[in-house]
Amino acid sequence: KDYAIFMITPDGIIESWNEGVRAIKGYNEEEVIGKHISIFYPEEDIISGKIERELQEAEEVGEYEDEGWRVRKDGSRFWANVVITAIKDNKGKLKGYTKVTRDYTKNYYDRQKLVEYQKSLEQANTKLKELDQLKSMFLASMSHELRTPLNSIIGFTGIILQGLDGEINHIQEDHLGRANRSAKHLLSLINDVIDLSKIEAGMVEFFPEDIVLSDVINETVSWVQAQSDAKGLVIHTSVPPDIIINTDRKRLYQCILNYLSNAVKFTETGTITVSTTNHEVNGEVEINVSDTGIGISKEDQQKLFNPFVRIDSHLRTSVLGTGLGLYLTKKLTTELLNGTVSVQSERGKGSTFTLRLPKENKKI
Amino acid sequence: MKTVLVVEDNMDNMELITVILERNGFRAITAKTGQQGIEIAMESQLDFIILDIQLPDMDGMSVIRKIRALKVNGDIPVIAMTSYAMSGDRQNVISAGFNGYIEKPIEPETVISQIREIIGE
Repeated sequence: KDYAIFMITPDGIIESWNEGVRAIKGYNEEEVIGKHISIFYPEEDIISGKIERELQEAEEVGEYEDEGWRVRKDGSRFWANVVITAIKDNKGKLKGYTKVTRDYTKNYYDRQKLVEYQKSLEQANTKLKELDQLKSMFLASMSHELRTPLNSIIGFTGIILQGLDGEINHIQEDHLGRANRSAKHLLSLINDVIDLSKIEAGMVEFFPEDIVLSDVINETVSWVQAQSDAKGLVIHTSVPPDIIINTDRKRLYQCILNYLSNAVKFTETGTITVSTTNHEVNGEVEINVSDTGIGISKEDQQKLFNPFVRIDSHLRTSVLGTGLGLYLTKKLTTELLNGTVSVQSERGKGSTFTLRLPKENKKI
Repeated sequence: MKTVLVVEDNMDNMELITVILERNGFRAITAKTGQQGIEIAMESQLDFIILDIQLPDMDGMSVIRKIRALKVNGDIPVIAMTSYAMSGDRQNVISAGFNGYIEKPIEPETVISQIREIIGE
């Protein structure tokens, strides 16, 4: 009943009938025997000579399979899946055809729906991408707007604190200092958020150059030196001066600085060591920042590089941070610098954070 | 006493940088637009220039081109003021003819030594 099967003469005259013919096309046996198969075809196919072409192809190739509209006895149309097979005698002469027709109407409409869904998904996707781009463009232009007033706050409190506007008393120094530090904290929050959205939007610039690794590491150490001295910590570096890495200097500096400033923040006493391991074989270099700080539990290590994660500890409230530093480092390292990040640590025993980077950049 | 031309359109930034310069022994002449800056550079006795690269009337890169083309003050040090410099800025800025750059937000504690280093003091 699902298949209309019939035998056809070489001229296209129907010679046999089955239940499927009635079920699918609505014809009884006597209504089709001796008739030409064109009774099943829509007008446009008859006029265009499609039937003849189908039969011809079946004869030449042996088989013809196609889908198209067919007409039932009551004039209604259905979408058919048709296989016409040529029957030849052992001398290769055409004796006739068999034709198997299936009603694929539901299938046809399902497919139409799928195509429509696909189109609307594509449209929604395009729209999403546009919105995402808009958001990033907005953030990029806002970044200038957001930073400008901060420039004033940090700048002018800084000038007063330096005594450039005249002597200030201890209380003024204390209060202005708080304002100045808050403004700097706000600035780093803004910078981090903007960096992140640039990364999400694929808008971070990458400018590789040949860099002496020890130079960059020394720069990061100078940056945190004052903080570290104030806590009585010692920073050791053990970096051979001949390691050259080709990558984006600003972003490399940013990632190493993130590790180093975390080390200073989360170490109350002892030493921080920056060292490198040169992996000649696969052209990679590892940068390790180790500390004798409070360490991180196995559990916390799992979510360490996620955004807005602040690990609970007795230092938590006294440590200022954006909660984005490690996330940003991970994103920059993996998506821009082609490297990996990892951590080894034990609660109470200190941590070692690692950056592993290719020395050569083969970015397109 | 060295004389510096500062070209900056934001009034707060202008106040900030000129106060720091003057308290550190420099004499500052100010201009609010690229055009004004070029006019001053054409006629004044200057030792170096600090130029914001995002000016309302002219792109900082065009300004420095015009300054470098001047007979007077054409080859004095010119320092770019950039906003959260992108890595690319450093190369763009040097190849456009600047002698160096200072990043905004300006750090009062370190900007003078940054400037002295660029002008070779």
